[in-house]
Amino acid sequence: MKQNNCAETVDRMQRGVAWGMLLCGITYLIILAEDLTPKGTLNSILDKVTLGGVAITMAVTIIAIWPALKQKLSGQLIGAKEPEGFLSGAMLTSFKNGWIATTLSITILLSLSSRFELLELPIRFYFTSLFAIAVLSVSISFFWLTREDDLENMED
Amino acid sequence: MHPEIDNRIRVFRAEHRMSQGELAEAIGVSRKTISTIEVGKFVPSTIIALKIARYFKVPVEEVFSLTDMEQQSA
Repeated sequence: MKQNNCAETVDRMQRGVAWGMLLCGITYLIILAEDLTPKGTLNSILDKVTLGGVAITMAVTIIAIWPALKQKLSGQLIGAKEPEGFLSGAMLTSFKNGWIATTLSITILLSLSSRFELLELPIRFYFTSLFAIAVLSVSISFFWLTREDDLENMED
Repeated sequence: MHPEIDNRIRVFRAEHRMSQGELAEAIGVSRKTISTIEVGKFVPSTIIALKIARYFKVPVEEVFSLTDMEQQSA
């Protein structure tokens, strides 16, 4: 049986997932802005933008994952037998960087917790912030590590 | 960049008159993986290194070498 080279499919999936995470992080930043804005016109606009952000994030993520999932279900994508590639390595490094950024953020929040209590913000605000930091740091790290290089594109 | 490892993939590709995409397809990785290995941005796994060497029908040491070892022996 002919085995398709699934590396390009996996690369496209990795890029799509990173885009999905970036859009998800931006959506959560908009949710934060919505939480801090008093009820009114701006708040309702931010609410609608959030709904749009959620829809776009889901669409981008599903579109990114679907081709790889389809190949996996049809038995053409055999991940364990494929050697790892540059983008897979970059994604793993980005998850490590995201973990560092989230841990640092939690440490800062803990050290300043007594001051944050004075702000009387809802607990949801902090969870939303941490989630936004986690997904944004992973996606930004991924795009930084995989940025195009003129030297790479030299074929000869 | 990894200054410790040098590779001659571009030389072997030129000898075989093949593009990065064709080599990538032949060994089952993406074109981006080949291009980043060539410029020393990505250090390949042993499996990828052996697949590249096997494709060009040469020992892996002919494709990849440690630059500091070459300097020591010179």
